[in-house]
Amino acid sequence: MSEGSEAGLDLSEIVGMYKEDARRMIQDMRQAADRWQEVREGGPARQILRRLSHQLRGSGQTYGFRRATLVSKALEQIIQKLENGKLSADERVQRSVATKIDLLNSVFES
Amino acid sequence: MKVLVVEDDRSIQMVLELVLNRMSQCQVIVASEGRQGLAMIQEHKPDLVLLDLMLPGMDGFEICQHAKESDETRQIPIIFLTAQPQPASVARAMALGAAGYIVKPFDPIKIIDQINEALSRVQAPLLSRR
Repeated sequence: MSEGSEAGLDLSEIVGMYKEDARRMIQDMRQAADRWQEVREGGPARQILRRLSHQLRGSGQTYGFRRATLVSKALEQIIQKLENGKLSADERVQRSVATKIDLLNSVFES
Repeated sequence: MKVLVVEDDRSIQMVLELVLNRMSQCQVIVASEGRQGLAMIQEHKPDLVLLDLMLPGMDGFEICQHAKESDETRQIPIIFLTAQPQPASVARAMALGAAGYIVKPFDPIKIIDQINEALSRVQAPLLSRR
């Protein structure tokens, strides 16, 4: 993103709103990941993780947060592998998901 | 110039409204849900539709298919704007009659050129650029 580098375009006015939305989404992701039994069984918590990681992947870099897109993409891929049965929802995967959510949180902390 | 954005992610709605309005002086209307998006295509007959793929209610493929089946909306250019980069999704969208397929994340500064590039394959570019 090139902030304000084009005539009439200043994205900084919506970046603040985006960061607030992103923080809320990450909070929802954390709550979903805490319901690991639901994630393991393909319940609503897994769908929340998939939908929100997909959204953050699509929007992060657009707003200049490239790392958010990269981490979200990795998170979405984990969830897709759970869906496809290519990964089992064991403790290692649970830790990996939690770490990625922490990473996302750090992107939008400041 | 009226552009319909069918997108359930508020952050993408915001950036498209800002860019299309400020840089191209477009009137931007927004639908956040699939069925609402199809209804707005039929009601408003916009000059251009930017269509997400994964939407609540009805997905982008279905919306495009319905729009292209109707004589009243067939000519409206539809560009998919989605985080699904899979070639099979691109092929399906184009087979349904989409004018283009742009993969998120996109650069807001470049999006108008990307839209015009997609449209130039099927018609003259629609969007002006300041």
